Amino acid sequence: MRESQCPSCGAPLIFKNAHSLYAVCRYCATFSVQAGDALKEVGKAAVLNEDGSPLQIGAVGYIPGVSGQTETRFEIVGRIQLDFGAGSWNEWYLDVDGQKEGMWLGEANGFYYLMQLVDTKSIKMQYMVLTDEKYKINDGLPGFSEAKLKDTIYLNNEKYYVKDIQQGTVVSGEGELPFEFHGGYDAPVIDCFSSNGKVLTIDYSEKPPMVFAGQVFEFKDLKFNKLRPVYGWSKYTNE
Amino acid sequence: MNETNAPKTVKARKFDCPSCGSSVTQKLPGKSVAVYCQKCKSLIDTSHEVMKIIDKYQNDPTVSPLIELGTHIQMENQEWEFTGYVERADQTGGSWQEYVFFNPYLGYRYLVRSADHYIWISPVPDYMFSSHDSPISSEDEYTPMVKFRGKQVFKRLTSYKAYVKFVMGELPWLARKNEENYVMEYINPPYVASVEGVQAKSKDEQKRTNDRFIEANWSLGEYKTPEEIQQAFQLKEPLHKPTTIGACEPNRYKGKWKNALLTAILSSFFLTGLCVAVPEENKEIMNSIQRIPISSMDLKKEGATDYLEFQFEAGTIELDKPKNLTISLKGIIDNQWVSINYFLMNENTREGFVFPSEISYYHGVDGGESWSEGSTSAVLRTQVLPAGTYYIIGVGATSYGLTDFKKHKAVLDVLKKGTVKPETLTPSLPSGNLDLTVTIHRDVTSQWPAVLAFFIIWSMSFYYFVRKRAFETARHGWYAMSYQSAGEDEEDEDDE
Repeated sequence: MRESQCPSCGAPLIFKNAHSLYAVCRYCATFSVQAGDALKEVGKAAVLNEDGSPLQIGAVGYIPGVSGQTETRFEIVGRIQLDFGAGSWNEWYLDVDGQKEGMWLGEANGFYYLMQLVDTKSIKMQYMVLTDEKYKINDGLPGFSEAKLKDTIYLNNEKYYVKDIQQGTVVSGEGELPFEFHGGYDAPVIDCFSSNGKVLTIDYSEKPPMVFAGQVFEFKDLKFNKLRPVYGWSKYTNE
Repeated sequence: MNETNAPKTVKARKFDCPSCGSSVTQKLPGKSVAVYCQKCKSLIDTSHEVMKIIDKYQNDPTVSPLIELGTHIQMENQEWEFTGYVERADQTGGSWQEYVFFNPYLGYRYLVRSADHYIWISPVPDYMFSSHDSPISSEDEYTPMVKFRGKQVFKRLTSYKAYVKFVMGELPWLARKNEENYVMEYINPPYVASVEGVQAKSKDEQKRTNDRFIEANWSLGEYKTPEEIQQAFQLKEPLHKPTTIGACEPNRYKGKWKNALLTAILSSFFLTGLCVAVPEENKEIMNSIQRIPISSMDLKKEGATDYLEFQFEAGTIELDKPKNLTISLKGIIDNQWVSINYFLMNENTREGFVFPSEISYYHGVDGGESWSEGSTSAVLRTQVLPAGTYYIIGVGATSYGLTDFKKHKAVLDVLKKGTVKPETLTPSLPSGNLDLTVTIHRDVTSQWPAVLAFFIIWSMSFYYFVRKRAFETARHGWYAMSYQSAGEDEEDEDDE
């Protein structure tokens, strides 16, 4: 954890994750970037859409342990809000205990997509294309405009199927983040899944595209607390 | 200035209806994207900053919802708010209602009410379903079965097109009047897995989708009884009971069949045990081993058949009460036959009974293949005999030793006349013996009551098995109709 000051209003800005370089001031919505020891103002963050999410910055959850391992605590430290034309979509940035790099938690209709940025340099990526009625395996990733639904993408020989191809827009963001965002910017995204429940998101807003891999959880799996109260609803309690 | 960029609690949003100008409340901003204006019944697209009218529903629902919009219910130990109501119909004219429920932590659920059947539906990420061990795609739309989480098997029931006819409240998708969705259903009662295909609208979309669906949304439904819904909705009046078979209604005879089958298996064990566990009732009262020399037999002829006749005294038996008997006969024969009449004489009453028994055993090799016929033993069962002491004589006929006997016939004839001393002829006498064992058991428990009981209990189980099968046949028959008309409808479109 490191503490800084908002270059605009002077309010304290706390970075919980080592990889966070950008932050939105919770008092004046100024968006700033770490430049040397100080913070530099980038601009003002747009207002986020009300989206009814019970998650918020400061909420805490636990990633279930695999095969008897203990669970891992995480805290929500930032988010990017996207719009795919049918409601808002949140990507929450998580500071995970014992892990330098943060993780991302996508939220969709009671399901939670826990994703980690993949180092594409150290991984074998291939995709299958149908050309002249013959299947051919190419290295790398398909271009955004090239990809079709149900195409196959291989990540370290694990087979993924393209499930969604969406052209989203970044609405805004808040809290601390590992990269810069701009409201109103395009976010071309491809979502894939494997038959054993792993998910893959390829974000084409940067070059080369960013690849996120992870898996899906249900609300109760993540044992959230410090959630945002929802009007008219009692606090959710894990049974 | 706002203290923070995001609101602290999740609140409802108010806006003016773009159609009639009256105030509309959106309870789930960011979640619902289609909101209904109570005043003018327009459906409004709220997914953008500028509200757009999707459709105007000037009609009323054909079936009123059972509860008011905004009502909180309890289902599967969770609280849900009734936020939207949709009426849909298929191309055959059948219609049903969908209740849209929301929980801010768990997302959306749907309750389908169709002909008084209820199904509680949860959306499921589609990778959880597979076909032939690879993920489902719409190319597999006619696959006969799908697997959930790689284990639970769902069999295809039906597929049909569904059209939106009426909307009330708020919905998480941009529903349009007459919007067409292609639905496929797979069942594993009480569960139903269904996939709703959304067709590509633009050419560009069609190109990208490799086929006709731009989206395929999977869900998992569970059958609910009218009683469960009455309780969840806290209704005073009981709901109508369905008169048809529900798509994923548990087979009404499955439980009965299982019970009948279990009963049949258990009682079979019990009855078999009972028959075995009564040794008193099946007591051996005579075991007589008879060695009958061929030389003591007489050659007889009936038609073209020669045979040897013999008789033996088996002994006496005592019956303290009227009882039935089994008489077993075992003989050492090889390509021969033995036929015996047992004469049972009651020494007290002078009453006589005759029981015939026969054994024959033949074997050989024919065309390189060995064969055998008959058996060296036989069992006969008598009727109930009166109490008393019985003297048993066996009078038999056999082909055993016949050849040998004929060879020495002349010698035997001389012997019988008694004119020659047997010692001088001994080397030429037929030397074989017919060995027979006669065993008598008394108090033999009749198997008939047990057989009857077996038959009754197994036919119960068979009856329910047939009813269970008929239920499934009726279910599939009923839902296949809509599937077939879906196919016909498509052909009609092609003709145009």
